[in-house]
Formats: sequence, C-alpha cells, structure tokens
Amino acid sequence: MFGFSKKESKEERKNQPEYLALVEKWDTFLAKMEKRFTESLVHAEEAILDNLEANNYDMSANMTAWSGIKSQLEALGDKIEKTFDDKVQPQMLDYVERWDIIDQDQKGSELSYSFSRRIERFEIELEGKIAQEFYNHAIQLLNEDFHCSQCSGKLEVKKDIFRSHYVGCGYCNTVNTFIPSDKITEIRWVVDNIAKHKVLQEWDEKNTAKAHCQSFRSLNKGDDKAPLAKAYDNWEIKENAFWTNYFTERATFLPEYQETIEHDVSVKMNLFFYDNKKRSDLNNN
Amino acid sequence: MEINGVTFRDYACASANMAAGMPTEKICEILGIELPVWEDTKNQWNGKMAELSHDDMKFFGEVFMNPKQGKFANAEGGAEGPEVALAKYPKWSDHIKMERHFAIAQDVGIDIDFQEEYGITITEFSQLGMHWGGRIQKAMQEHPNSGKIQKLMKKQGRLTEKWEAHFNEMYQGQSANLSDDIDF
Repeated sequence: MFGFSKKESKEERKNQPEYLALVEKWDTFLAKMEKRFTESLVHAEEAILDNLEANNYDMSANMTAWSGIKSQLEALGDKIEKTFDDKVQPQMLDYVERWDIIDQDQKGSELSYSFSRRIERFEIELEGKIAQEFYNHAIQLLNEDFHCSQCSGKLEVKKDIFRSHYVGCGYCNTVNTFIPSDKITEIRWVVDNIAKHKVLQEWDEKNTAKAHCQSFRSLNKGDDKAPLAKAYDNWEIKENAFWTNYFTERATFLPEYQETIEHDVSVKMNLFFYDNKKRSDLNNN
Repeated sequence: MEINGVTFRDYACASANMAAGMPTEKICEILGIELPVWEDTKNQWNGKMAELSHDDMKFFGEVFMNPKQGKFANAEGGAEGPEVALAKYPKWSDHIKMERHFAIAQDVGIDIDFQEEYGITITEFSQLGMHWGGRIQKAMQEHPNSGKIQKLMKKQGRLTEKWEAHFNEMYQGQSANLSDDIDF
C-alpha cells in the first residue's frame, strides 16, 4: 500500500507497534476460533445423541445430520485460512515483508489442520457412542419370542449373526427361515464403529507412530537408515496392535469372524503398512 | 471361486441390481438360492473384497453402470442401462447440477431424494456420473495435450460454479455458521 515505507532490518520491522498489535489481534482471533471449535464439538455430540432417540434410532437420518454438522466444523478451519489470506496478510504486509509473516501464516494453518485431525478423532468417538446406543436399543428386539410357522413352538434364533438364517424347530423339526427386522440387520454394520471406538487408544498410537515415520526427511544415498527402520518397526507393532484389537473387539459381537482375525489383520497390514514401507526410503539403494 | 454356488461376478451383478431397487426375493430367485443363503453369500463376498483381483474390482465398479449382465441380463425389475438415464438427462450440465445439489444439500445435513427431485434412482445418477467421467477420461487419453481438454476443464469449472452458486443460495440460511460473530 502507498504511504508506508518498510524498515530495513527484520528485527525493526517485526518490532513496530502497529505490527505487534496486528499479531495480537490475530492471536485473539485464533484463540476465539479454538474456543468456538471446542464448544461446538460438545454441542454436536449432545445434538446428535439427542437426535438418535427422537428419530426412533434411524441411523441414516442421524448420519446425515452429522454430515451437516461436520461441514460446519470444517468451515471453521476454512475460515481461518481465508481470514489470513484476505485480511491478516494484507494488513501485516503494510509493515513487514512477506517472508516475515511465514510464522503467522503457519499458526493459522496449524490450528486449521488440528481441527481436521480432531474432527476425524471426534467422529470415531461420536459414531462409537451412537452405535453403542443403537446396539443397546436394537439388541432388545432379538429378545422377543419367535415362533415356528408349522407348530407355533418357540424358536431358538441365533443371537449373534444378525441376518437371515435357518432355524430348526425343536418341537416338530420344521426348518424355519428367520428374517430379522431391518434394525436387527443393521447391528452387523454398527458394531464396526463400536469396535473402532473401543480401540481408540491404539488408533492414536498407530497414527503417532506413522506420523513419526513421515516426519523423516528424504534419505540420500549413504545416509544412515537405522533410525527410519526403527521408526517403521515401531509403526508396524502399533498398526498390528490396532487391527488385531479392532478385529478381536468386532468378533466379540460377531463370533463368526473369530476364526478370520489373523487373515483380516494381514489384509489390513498389507494395505495400510507394508505397501507404504515398500515404497519408503528404506528400499532406496 | 464360488461361495454357495455364487461367483463374484454374479454377486457384483446382484449388488448392482439391488442398489437399483430390485427386491431381494427377485435376486434370490435369479441366483436360485434362498434368503439365508444369499445373506451368508453376501457377507462372505463382502469379507473378501480386499483380496480381489484388479479385474474383479474393476468389474465391480463398472457393473453399476450396466447391471443387466450375466444371470441378470434379461431380468425385470433391476436397473436399466445408462441409456435410459441419459435419455432423461442428456447434458453434462444436468449431471453437474445433480452432483452439486447432492453435495451442497449434504453439507447442510439434508439427504436429497433423487426420485423426488429428478425422477431418477441413485443408480441412474451414478450411471450418469460414470458416463461423463468415462467421456472425460477418454478425451484425456486420446488428446492429452490438446486445447480440447482445457476447454472441457473450463466448461466443467464454469458449470460447477454456476450450480454451486444456485444451490448455495437455495440452502442459504439452512446451515448455522458457527463463527458469524468472530472476525479479525
């Protein structure tokens, strides 16, 4: 902008009272956004959980409602980036050079990025809680009595597969087809979210281990690969622990998957770990 | 490989027809199995998705574009081929409009009903998407560095902007802005 002459040294430029006032204003803005984000997560959880019962445990309606709230939460991060580009940066550039405000830009980007990561984690918690509520409701429907189509004798339906199956009548030997209600069928799908929520700690640990691997700078020929190899070893353990515990939790609800845990873990490890490791600098010669 | 006598391709066709609204009873009838067997089959194939070959996965992606294949070739009650949806909505703009409508509505927590809004099923909407996506991909392969691609991209951008503005206005006020009162 015309009328401003910028100081020569970086030190002088960054110590101008006008610039410092803008930095303070930017910090205040970011603090308010952080507070609003944190408060909004609490409100979102209350709203979605209340909505579940009000909607007669309609999971689809609930997920659509969450999708709307999620967009609003994501918009908070977008607003930070946009505010910096449209308002903060132009005002700061009246006093300092572009390279002087990289740290200010970074502050906003980091907060915005942290919103994304926290939304992802919050989603696991929220979906886990909703799924558990739904499960508690729907599982009761399986406790009702079901009767043989031939002799009306009470049938012993399987209570841990949540899908259609044949049930032999213990009185007249007729083979009946048990067709569960939609809500019972849906239990099969919601238990994934319950299981994931139960292993949230392992989820955090494997993400931290992965981030550590990704924090290494690119290795050149002759560089020591041992630290990176150690980081990958740690990630492998954490990734494996996550999937093993996740599938084990899931099998507590769906015992038919008990025998495939080892196989399922190996499929996920190939997809989420070994493929990455294969392409890493560990294999550069 | 078969599960309860159902090949992966049968399973993929069945899934595509089911998504298009074919009743489960009809699916079972065509596959010649009963409901409990179908559900067990579906469950087992679902569990094997991550291990399937590239070709099988490609088939699974494409079968939704044309579900009338294999045992379902002459079946009634499933989805038609893409030509039916294209006859109703022949323009690229139509699909971009629907796609933006769907996405912007979802951002404010609304699931649009394609049947009510546009008179087509969600499968037909997907068929339109695959049709136009395929056309663009083909153009990119055939004329990778030509002005044609640039023109297409420009047109896509223009249409996207147009429909985004339209639906943003339509849903204005339906979504709370969490930080209206916070400004720099």
